[in-house]
Amino acid sequence: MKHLLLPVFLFISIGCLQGQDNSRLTGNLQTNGNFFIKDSAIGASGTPQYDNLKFGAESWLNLNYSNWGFDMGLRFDLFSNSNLLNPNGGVFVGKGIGRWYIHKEIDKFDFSGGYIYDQIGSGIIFRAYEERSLLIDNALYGLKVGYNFDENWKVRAFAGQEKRQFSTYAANVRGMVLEGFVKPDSSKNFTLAPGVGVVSRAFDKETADRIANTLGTYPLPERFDLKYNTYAATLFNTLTAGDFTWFFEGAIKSPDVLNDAANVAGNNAGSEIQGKLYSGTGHTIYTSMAYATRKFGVTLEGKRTKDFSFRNDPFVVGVQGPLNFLPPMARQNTYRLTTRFSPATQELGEQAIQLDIRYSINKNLSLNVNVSEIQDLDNTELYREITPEFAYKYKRKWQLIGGLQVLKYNIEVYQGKKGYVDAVTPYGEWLYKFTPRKSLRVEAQYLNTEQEFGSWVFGLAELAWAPHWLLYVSDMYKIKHPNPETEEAEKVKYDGLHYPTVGLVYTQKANRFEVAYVKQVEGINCSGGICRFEPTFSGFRVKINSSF
Amino acid sequence: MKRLLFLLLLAAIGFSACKEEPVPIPDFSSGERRVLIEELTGIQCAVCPKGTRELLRLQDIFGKDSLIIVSIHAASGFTSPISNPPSQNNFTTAQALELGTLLGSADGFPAAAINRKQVDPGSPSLMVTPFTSWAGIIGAEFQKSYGLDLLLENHYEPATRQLDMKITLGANNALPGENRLTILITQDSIVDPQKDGTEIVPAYIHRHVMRGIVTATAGDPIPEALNKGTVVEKNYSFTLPADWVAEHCSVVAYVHHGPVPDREVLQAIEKHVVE
Repeated sequence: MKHLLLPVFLFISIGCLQGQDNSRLTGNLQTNGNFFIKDSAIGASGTPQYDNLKFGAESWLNLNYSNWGFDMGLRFDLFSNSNLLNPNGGVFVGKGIGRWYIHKEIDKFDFSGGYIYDQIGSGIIFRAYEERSLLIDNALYGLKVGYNFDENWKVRAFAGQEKRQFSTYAANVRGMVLEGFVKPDSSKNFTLAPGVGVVSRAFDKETADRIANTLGTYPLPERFDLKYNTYAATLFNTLTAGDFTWFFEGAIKSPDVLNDAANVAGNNAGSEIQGKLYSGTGHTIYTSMAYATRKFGVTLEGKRTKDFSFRNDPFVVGVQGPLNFLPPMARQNTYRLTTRFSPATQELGEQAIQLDIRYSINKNLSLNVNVSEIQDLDNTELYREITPEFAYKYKRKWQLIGGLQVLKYNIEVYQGKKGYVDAVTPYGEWLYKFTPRKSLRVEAQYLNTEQEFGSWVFGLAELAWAPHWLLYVSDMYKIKHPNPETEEAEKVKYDGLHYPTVGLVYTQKANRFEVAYVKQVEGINCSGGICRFEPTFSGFRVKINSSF
Repeated sequence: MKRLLFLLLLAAIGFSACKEEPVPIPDFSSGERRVLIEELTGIQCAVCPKGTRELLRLQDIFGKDSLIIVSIHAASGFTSPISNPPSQNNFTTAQALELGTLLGSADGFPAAAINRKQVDPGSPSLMVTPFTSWAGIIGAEFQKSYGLDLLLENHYEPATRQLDMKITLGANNALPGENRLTILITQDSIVDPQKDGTEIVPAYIHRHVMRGIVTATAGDPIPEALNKGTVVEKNYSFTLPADWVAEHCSVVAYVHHGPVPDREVLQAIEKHVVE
């Protein structure tokens, strides 16, 4: 705790001295409160929040201050019986300084200390970032030093340990990146933005011993040499030529301890170990080509990943503990039913391609088609999505968006359930403006599938009075199976159930208050290809967002 | 060119000494200390049998007398009965739920407490995930010893179904602080439905199911100071309910710290009710 007092003291002291010219104090507050109301019929029960605690909350109060060429920040985090860290029955309680940092530029040098967010390239070998919806916050607690050779070329190096809630992971991380910008001919629109980076992670002794002890229980042929250090290197470049942009990144990783919970390789080889550690040398290749004009745009992405899980501790799995971030290869859907089957990035093996085409026929009508295909390295289908969509604007009075999502989803790999889901989901959104300040938005979606729990329908109406009020009402309904007695109990357990939501939002300048009564079905929650299973929710949600 | 040389120099400094010696991998044999595994499970928990199979594999390596397994059916959200085919037993008793709460919630499943060691200092829970990490922690636990011997003698009277248990504690080292004794009964090889992966297995064999707790759930405090050479004897009696198969039941006894400074299990022992 003592080490937290220093930044608090420094921040308060420096803040007290403000009033000088050029000083700037900004901040924001985000608070989520969940009131849990038990509803056994929809599966909202059996966790401490429903059975006993009844309320959980999380809050972040962030302050940033700039003066005398320094930038500094302090963030207070609060978790009160929160289920955000582990929605499946976990209770997280904690409070304290979630982040502090100081940053200063001196001539060509650049220094940062504290909890640092950063990434190399697209994040394939290193990304320290925050994603609050999944409680990912793996800031690097350490020091970063940068040097600008000139206005186009810069290098930076960093070292430290990654944040784990209010402590850090024991592994030590260090890295370096050189980034540049090249424009050979100033008269032409042709540029290159190359970069090269390296990162190393060293296990602590306790983790190394735990891995060694685990290997000691394996049959001799399944053991491997264990080393403290793993190295990863990457080479990346963005080429821009007129309307054409091409990003490429290739990364490799030295032998690392990888955790294969399914032990697919071992099962194939007749191993008796259910889930196992193995050693693998990894690589990831990612490329994105885009051509965009005012009326036409096309983006083609491709990725191949093999053994590229890069974690602080091989025994920390799920959304916690990664050092890196592998770009997702499926469309980032936003509607309730089109997000029901989202693919999580497969760190141990995946090959994928995605194509997105956009064409504006005129100023009122535009078309979009997205196709993504994800397979494992044995060419087994994991995910396929084809989504054509149109958007039509009628003057400034109303706008209509319509589309059809056709997908195939390997629910066995992504969620541990049986087989594949084949689903077709037509969806539509209509926005009507009564006046420039008063509007109505309506959504309708129908997910048609024979698998998992069967088909769903969803509707939403949202009435907005700018600039202050917004009221929304929605319902997600599980369509009954025609012959439930012939189906498995698990499959029909939500038949005929409604999941209604009613919410009210009030916005006052940069302050937003929201209260909603929510019933939400169990499912996968994803952000950027990082996914986790979240159970049914029933209760009230209160959200406060405020910036100053 | 200067830039490249500078970068190469930095890289050479930063990533020098890349060559390192491999960490030695130990070979295990059972030590004097026994290790207690409290597995959190539920008949609706599709992935829990994977953890059970891993524990049975580890029991084969470390020895059945050395690695003591207790399966507690209190996995939050995964304990409701299976309807087709219908569950015949209710393993999720009030005592099981109480014990599950005492050990803490799990970040996922399979989950187990290993000698009630606090693996994640930042978490109030004793549950350890993922199950692939269990072997390493168990291996490390076998390498420690508190110098505490336990002797367990059972006498079972089939006519009355009364079970008398005598536990003798022998301390070879001073064991300061609050020590507690917990005794519970497990039943092995109960055939009943279980979700296993994507299937419901109608005749699943449930292993080491926690059926009842003889002492207080949090353990009975041991008032005697455990100094070097101290021997303490404790006697308990318990009547087995009619639906428990005595021939498949075992008594598990373990001495552990009170809540302060930790809840670590110092030593454990398991004996069949009927030898």
